[in-house]
Amino acid sequence: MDKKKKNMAVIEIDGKKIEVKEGENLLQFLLKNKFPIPHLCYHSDYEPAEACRLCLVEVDGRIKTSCGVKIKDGMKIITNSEKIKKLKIINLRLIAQSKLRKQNREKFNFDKIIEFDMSKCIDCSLCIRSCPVSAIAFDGYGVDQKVAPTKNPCIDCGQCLAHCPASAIDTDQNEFQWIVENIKTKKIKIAQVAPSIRSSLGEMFGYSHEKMTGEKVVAALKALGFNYVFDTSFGADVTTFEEAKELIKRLKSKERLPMFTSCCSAWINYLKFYQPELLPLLTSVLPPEIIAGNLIKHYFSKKIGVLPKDIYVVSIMPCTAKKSEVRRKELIVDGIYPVDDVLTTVELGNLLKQQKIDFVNLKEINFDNPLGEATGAGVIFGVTGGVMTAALRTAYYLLSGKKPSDLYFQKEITSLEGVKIFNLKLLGKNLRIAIIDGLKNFYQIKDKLSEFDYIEVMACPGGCIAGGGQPKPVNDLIRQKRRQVLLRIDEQKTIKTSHDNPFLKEVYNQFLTDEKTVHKYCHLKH
Amino acid sequence: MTKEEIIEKIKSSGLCGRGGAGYPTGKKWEEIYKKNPKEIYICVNGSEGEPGTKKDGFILEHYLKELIEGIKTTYYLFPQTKKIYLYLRKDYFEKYKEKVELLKDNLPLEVFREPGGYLCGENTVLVNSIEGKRFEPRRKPPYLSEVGLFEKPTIVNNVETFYRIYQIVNGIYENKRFYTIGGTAKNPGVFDLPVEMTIKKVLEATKNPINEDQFVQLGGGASGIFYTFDEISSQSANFGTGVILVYNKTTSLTEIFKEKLEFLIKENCGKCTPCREGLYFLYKLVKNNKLLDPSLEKQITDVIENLVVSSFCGLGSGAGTAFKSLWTKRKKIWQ
Repeated sequence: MDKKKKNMAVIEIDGKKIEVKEGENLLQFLLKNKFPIPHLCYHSDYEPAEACRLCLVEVDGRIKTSCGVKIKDGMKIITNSEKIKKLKIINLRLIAQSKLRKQNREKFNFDKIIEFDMSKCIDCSLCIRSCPVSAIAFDGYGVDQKVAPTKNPCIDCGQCLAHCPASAIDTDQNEFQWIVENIKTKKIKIAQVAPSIRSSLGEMFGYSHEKMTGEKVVAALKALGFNYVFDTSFGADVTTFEEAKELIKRLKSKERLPMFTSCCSAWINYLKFYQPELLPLLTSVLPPEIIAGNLIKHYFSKKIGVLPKDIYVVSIMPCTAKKSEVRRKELIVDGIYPVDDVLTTVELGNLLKQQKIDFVNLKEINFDNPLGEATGAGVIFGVTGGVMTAALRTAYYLLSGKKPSDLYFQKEITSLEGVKIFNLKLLGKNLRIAIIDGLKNFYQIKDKLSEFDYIEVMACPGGCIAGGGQPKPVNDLIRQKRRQVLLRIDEQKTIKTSHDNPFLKEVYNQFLTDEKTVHKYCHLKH
Repeated sequence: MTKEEIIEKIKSSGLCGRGGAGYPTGKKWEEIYKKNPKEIYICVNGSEGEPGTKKDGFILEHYLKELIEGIKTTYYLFPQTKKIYLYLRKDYFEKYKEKVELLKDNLPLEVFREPGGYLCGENTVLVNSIEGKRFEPRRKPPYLSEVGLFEKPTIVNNVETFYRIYQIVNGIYENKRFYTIGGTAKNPGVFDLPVEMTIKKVLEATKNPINEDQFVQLGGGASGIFYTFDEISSQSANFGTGVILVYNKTTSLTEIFKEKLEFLIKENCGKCTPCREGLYFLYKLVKNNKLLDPSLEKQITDVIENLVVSSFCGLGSGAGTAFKSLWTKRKKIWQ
């Protein structure tokens, strides 16, 4: 063999010599190379727990959990000895048998949004490791150990749900049944679809991650009986336009800086429960889904000659926290909630399966108008960094009167990084920016907020494409693929700046004609 | 004496940790001494959670001054020590806290009340419990000597180890250890005897001779190994926490399993499958009186072996070793 490359290790797996990067996680390497290693408590998003003891291998003659081993040069690994096989089966059997002991355990519930069935729990601790606010933790020891809520309020981000390997955590099923019933009985039903659904719903029906299925989602919702299906991205264009204006205003007056983005509902929940003193830093602009809801109920209703109260609006969201957002009393306009109910991607997928709707063979249908056409900027809201990119494109235009170059700032957001800090020259001014991917990373900049002008926080790593309502599994590779779908749409769209959306102009000409109206429907009342 | 001389003395004494794992103390300390980290912590482990063991309590009662002197020597070796925790189980804490406060002089020492039970005696659990975290073992590496309490290099040693350090430095160490004799022994207690003795010799020297109708568990009530009467004359007693528990054959296999399991299913941390579920599996069998059901023999053997080889930490594999020794010798003991 040639001289070893730097940072590379030569190891032996089941008698075969393999060259591999030194320090790589052994389990991850084995899985990548199609070794059938069972595992329940490991997830590449988190530090290994080494708890389930299923991913056992022999490393230099010693039995170890491969998830806890970092690859070193010269390691001899055996994955398939009789002894290893036997131990794995024993542990798997023990986990299965533990269900008997747990069968009478109760369910508990977070805000009637997230439901935890303790009888299904296998003590893997992934939910605990995924929770950015430690709202759940182990309680008790040994045979009495349970996963239980802590004193910390849940922010409904749903990362626990997205990482539970035992389906012990799900969205609240009573709530789900209630929505299903409403869809059956309500007369005028309108759905709006978040941007990131189009990169993920198809996964539940065998489509690859890269496959774009936006028009199929519309067709599926129509098959469920929705009269109109709109694009939440249109709301995102309005949000962008308003947020860019507010940013410029606040930068000029130097008031309430840094400005926080507000489209992530789990982020807002976090601020409400944990750092209420920072709430005034949020942009006053409402999230896209809420603006879209307002426009459906108070603008579109007039077009079809219906009273706002007679319209039932369901949002299809990649997010569990959106379920809490739509209940916020301060969002009521003229006695009416902007959105009535929220279905997550997974809930919609399950409903389609229940109703035996043949998703794969549905004929694609375009979104309805006028709230169905979005720009590239509106679509990239689904990935971390998207909101900010969109707002900066429009801010650039508003300040200079010039069109920003095609994919203005898009390259800044295409990497998956926990904390992105950079300075942007915006017409001679230096804009200090932070993009936080995953709420846990906010803690890194929590104490130096004054160093920034504009901060975007997305509670779920990757953004909405990997939200708590999205199909499982999720990991960095899948995040990257779903992300590419949205970024590709942005690249392909002729119009990439929200303020250039022709339907947006129409709405501003016909409905949002003065400041007062804009504030009523697009801003939070303070 | 220079620091180097002290470390050399500890090394040449052959002293091994007295908490159960038996790692050479000199080697462990020398590594940290050579690396010379900026800040370290020292934890004196007086959790003494291993059922049957009473030697740490014995030292606190009779040799508290000497123990503190041993700790002072360690502090002299490591003046960069940010804090020393004398970690005591609850009853020891109540009894000795004030006495320690009077003796500690200017040592940066805090007497720390153990917040949990058996688990907390494991070194990484101990460290977690001081930090206020959940009582569960940490992944290794990193070892505590690299990343320990509050992420600083940390020395954790048993109370007896520090007492022996005092003896070594003062030239009065006679290569002895404390044995706790218990169970159905006639003359139970704590005895200071040479390290290298057979179980039989220890029992005889302490006026606890046993007969063919008896057998022992060596090293701890939860993780000690069982030996038959025939084995004790050749088996060294230098193991674990140095406890020897005597059993009579009139006690059944099921009764012993039951006693151990009732303790362990509550006292394990709950983290790993072999321990949490394996112990519960055995407990259920014992409760339903099925331990001796021949159709289950293979399954029981497997679950015990799994506990030995695939547990996360030493407490699990220790418990496994204990069960395994009794399980494999059951026919010999009870015919």
